[in-house]
Amino acid sequence: MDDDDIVIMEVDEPEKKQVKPSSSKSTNLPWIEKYRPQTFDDIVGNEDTVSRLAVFAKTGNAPNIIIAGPPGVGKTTTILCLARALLGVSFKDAVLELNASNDRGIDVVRNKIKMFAQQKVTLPPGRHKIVILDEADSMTDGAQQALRRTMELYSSTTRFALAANNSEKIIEPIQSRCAVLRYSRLSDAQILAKVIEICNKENLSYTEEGVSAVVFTAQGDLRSALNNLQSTAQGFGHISPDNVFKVCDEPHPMVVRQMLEACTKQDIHEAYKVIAKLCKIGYAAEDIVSNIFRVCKTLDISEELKLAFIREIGLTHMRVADGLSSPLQLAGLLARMCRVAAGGDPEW
Amino acid sequence: MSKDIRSFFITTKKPVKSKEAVPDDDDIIPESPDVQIKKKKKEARKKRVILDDSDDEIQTKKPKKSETHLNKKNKSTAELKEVKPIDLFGNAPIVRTEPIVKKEKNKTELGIHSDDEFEKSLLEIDEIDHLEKNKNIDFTPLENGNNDKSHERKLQKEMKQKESIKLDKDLLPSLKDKEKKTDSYNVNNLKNKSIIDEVKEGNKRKFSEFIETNIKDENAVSKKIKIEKKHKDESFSSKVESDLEMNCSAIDDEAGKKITKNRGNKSLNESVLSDEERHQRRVQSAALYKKYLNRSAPKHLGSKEIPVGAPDCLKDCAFLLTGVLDSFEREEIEEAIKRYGGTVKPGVSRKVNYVLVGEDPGPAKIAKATDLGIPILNEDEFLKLISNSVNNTKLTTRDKGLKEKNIASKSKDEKERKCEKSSSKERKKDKSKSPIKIKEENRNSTSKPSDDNVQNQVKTLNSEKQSSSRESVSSLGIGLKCEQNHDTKCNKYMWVDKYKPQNVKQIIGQHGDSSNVKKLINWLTKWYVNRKAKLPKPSPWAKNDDGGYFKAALLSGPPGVGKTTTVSLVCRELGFDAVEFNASDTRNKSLLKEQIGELLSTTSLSGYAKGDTSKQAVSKKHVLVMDEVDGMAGNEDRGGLQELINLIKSTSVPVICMCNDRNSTKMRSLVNYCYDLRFNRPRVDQIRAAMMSICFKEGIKVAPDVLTQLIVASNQDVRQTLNLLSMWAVDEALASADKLKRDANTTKKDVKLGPWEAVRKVFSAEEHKTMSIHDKSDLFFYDYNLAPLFVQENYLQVAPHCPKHEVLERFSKAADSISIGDMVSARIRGSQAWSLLPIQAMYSSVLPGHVVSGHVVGQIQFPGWLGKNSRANKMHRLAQEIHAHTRLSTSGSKSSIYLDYSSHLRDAIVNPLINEKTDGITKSLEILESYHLLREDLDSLIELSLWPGQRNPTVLIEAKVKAAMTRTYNKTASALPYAPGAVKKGRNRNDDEMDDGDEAGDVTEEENSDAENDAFIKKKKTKDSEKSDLSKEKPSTSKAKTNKEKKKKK
Repeated sequence: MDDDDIVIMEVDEPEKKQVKPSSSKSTNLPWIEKYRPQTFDDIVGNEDTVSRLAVFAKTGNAPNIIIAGPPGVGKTTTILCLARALLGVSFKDAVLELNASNDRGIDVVRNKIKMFAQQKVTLPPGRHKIVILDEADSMTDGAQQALRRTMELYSSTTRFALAANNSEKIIEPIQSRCAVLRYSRLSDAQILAKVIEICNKENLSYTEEGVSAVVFTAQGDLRSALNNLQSTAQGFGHISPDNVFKVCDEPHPMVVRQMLEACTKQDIHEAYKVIAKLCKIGYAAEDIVSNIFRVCKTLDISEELKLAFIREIGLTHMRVADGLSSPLQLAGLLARMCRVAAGGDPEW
Repeated sequence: MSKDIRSFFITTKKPVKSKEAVPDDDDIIPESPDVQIKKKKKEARKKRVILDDSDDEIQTKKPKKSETHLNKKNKSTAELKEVKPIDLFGNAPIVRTEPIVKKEKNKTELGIHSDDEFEKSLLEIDEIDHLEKNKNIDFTPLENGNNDKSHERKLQKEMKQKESIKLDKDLLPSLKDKEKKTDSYNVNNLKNKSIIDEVKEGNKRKFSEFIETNIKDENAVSKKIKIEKKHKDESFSSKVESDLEMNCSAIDDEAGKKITKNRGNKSLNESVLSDEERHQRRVQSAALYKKYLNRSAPKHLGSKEIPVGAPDCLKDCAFLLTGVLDSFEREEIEEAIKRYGGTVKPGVSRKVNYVLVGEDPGPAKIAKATDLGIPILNEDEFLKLISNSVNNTKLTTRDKGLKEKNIASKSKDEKERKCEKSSSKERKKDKSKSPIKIKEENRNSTSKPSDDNVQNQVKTLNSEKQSSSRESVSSLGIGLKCEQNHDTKCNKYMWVDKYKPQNVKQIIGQHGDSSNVKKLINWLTKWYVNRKAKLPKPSPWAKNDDGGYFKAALLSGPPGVGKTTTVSLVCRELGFDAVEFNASDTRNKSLLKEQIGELLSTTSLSGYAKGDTSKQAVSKKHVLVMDEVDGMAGNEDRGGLQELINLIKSTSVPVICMCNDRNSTKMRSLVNYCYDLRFNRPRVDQIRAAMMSICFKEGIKVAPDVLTQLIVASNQDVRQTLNLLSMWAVDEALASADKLKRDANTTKKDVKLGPWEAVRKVFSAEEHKTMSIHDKSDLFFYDYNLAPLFVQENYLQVAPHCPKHEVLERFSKAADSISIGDMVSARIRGSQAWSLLPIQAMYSSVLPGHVVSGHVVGQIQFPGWLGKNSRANKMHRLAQEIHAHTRLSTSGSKSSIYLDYSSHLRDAIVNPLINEKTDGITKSLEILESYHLLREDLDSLIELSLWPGQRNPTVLIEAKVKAAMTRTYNKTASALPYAPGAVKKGRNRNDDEMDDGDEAGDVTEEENSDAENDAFIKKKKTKDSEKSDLSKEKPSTSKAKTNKEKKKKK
């Protein structure tokens, strides 16, 4: 009986793999799942770290790891790849994955995780069971405390892989037990390459600008790039800048940037044209202001001026939040920013 | 022989340090005189390093030892010249090889290696020592150079002793110690006058050349050697069997020896300096300083390249740079030295191994260097040193610095010679050496396949005697086994587990007598004794408390410094069974009570399971280990900490608790019951040493400076450093120095900033330079509730870096921004407009921080607003209460009660008591009643009406009067127009009211009194919980009340 089972399992696996890429069903999948990397080679960005993990995937005996980084850079994917590479067919049995959607209170750590760590799973030498704790920064302190000793006591059979957005939310004792790997945002070029690759695979019609608009909206987050790409593709069938920004309903940051640059040159006419246009398109004042705020933070001007701008933007934002969302407020904001840029002291 | 008088003084000191060593074997002795003459001190020392295992004593090994003895003898004879120790001992058939150590010596050494085995061996040695002493006494009178002889013997003994120590452990530190000692000893020995004179002459003549190279020194050295030879020949001529080759090779090394002589020499010179000379010197040094200022840049900058050497080839070498090098900037050389594992020292000291000299060197440095016998290199020699290192890596990495290198080359020489010669003695020497080498190499190559090395070794071994080869094979076998173990292990364990300390001594940073480990061991061993002793509680400031009073110990310290490891190792070593509870166990009140009680009353059979059937297999000694007590949190562990404290109070076994932060509020109650052991982070170099050895075992190369960076980045956390290292180790291609450096920077551990550090950063101009606007606003988000308050509280404490006349303006800007921030905050909380939060971050933190950026002067204050706010709330509550009570007789609003009534009302009540004492009681009670106030309303009234700076009028009331008033009040209390409990704030109010309602139902006919009754019950409860300061009076009053109530009811 046992033998039969094993045979069946082994047959199953390759079949699945074959089915996956070619099946027409997979069109139902969101692209982020469809194109989620299955091996280390496919992971975009952070090559150093990934290549190191790839070595561990071969040799086994990986230490406990924490992968920290902004969303959409491949933290979870990396961990899943590692687990898959390490454990192969026994992935199902030897991996416990918990994310923020699971209950991960102190009792779960004490019961479920500890039980799992104590379980016996037959694995090749150098391989260990893996507990994946996604979004570990959302675990309570108490739960993390309870994890401490478990991580150590069962280290001969179980390894932990944690993913978190900000590693400072993970308590120091846990960090001490892990090798902390930091992922940085992906560069636009990396995202661009991946997006174009997917466009080709999906046989999309696209323009250069359209794709770079997708990249721009993503801001280093490959997942949101793919989501935007997919929604644009399904909505319009063609990837052009206009379509992209229609989908990603947001004032175009480039336009806002132009406006702010006009303000620094005290060219209120130019700046107002932008605002008027944005209002006419129908963006809410609040969206416009918060967008101005975001763009302003990254604007390449002197710190002094930037803060002065931000001060004015904040005042306007406050008024808008109070309900005064008239274009007049936005025009006033422009005027004040121009005055600040001219060196006129603001109200303070 | 004319002797310096000092030598006599020195001898008196020496006996303490060292005793005699006796040459081992007969066959070797004939050879010795020669060797003596030629060999150097340094060599001898090196030999010692190699000859680890004389104590283990396999017969075949002895010859080797004897060689070292010879070396030592040589050394010492060379120094002392007239001494003929071999005369005395060498000829006599002395069979013993054990080092002989004096008792005093033992003690000092014990401090270093507190090792039982070692102690034992020392004790054995002592017995021998006594025998030897007797011998000494016999011998000494026979010869003229009595003093010298004894010196000599001592020296030998010392060396032997060192060897024996070596055997027990080759601990680097101890080695160093030893070397230091020998150094000093040598210096002392060098006082023989004839030598000094000689060297002086040579010194003067050749001072300048001397600096240049070692080669030149040879001349002077050879002279000396001749003289020495003469002496020796006189005394030993009959025994001398010369080995010319060895002579030649030894001469090269002679330089170092000579330098040491110079040292002694120099000190002599200095003491003789006249005033004139000193003056001259001063003038000279002034001129030199001028020269220094004008000195040129490297002449041929970039004309040479630093060769690629073996990694770590300069390990443990300390360099001193002086002068302008020909083709390198000083920084380049320093970097190169560091890259290859060396260090650069700022001044000449004994720790410096080389002096690297360029043009216009500092003469003082050179002179001192020559004094101390430090080899002086020029640039080319230095480069050669590095490039040569590639060839001898294996040997050099393991050993230390130049000396070790010399040994290496020497042993090579010997090998060659061996091939040529077939003298059995030589063979023996080599034989004894090679097995050790093999061992070393096996160790070296644990992670890499070391077939080549091993094969080579085997080849060389084949040419040797059978016995020796057998030995080496066995050692090889051990080595292979180790490798196998290693292989099987390495896949299963993380480095952290693999390199876990196996005994107490391996814990990093826990040596020394006052270390936590020692304290814990002490405390634990004395625990049962101390329970009977009934010790007094020590004062919290007592420094050297051994914790005898406490039944529990609390180990606190940052993660990764070895708390848990310490406890488990200490328990194991003392034979305690540790019952461990950690944060992964539920530890609430009832569980603790049940489980721990059971566990501690049982005995462990683990000994039986491991096949140990002796009596000790079943241990009854338990230790309760509560790991991570600060993790006892939440609903699950409710009451756990309190129960733990109770457990400690009543425990019959030692309890050890561990936590990270003993100052946290959770721990506050626990610390009073615990012996406080605080673990500090080990020093960087302590960790680095351990990490280096692990890197070595794993066969990875990490530059020391990168390692330092890594350790600092991980916050001196041993465990994380290991984790990171294991991460790096997998990919050797990635492990280039630059990359690792970059990596080390990014691996900084994220420690959550407290609001204090955050606010300091907000205002620090220094930090702003490296921070983007996002980073600055992140400071706000560390705690967006507290951050604005902290900024507001502390912005005036900042000294802005700006012209003085701008300071006020800047503060006004900051204040303006903070006020806008407050408006934003009100909107956020008022209308739940959380999208404004980033903007509040700007106003409340980034902008003020920017305009007044500078540095914070003085301490950062906790926001006073919080305290004030809660006080304000309390005042509101009190005013509300009084307002409600007096509503029938007053017409004002709450604020008018507060502003208009309260102070007058208070005076009206209090003044009669002050002025008329007991007679005023009725008066004030009347007022109370007319305003329908309760007795405790008086207290709130006083609190409410008291403004800052005013004096509390009630202090003028005599206590007697107060008490009398309360009594009368209780007697005369009459019906109130309201149910007093209703307005009062109390947690259990609802429940109480329910109860009261029931009661009221029961006693319907006495509605009024019931209402009163309610009030009294209320009073008791609320007061007990809220105002403990009045508790003195209260008990009596409430009793009185209840009594009265009972009477009424009856």
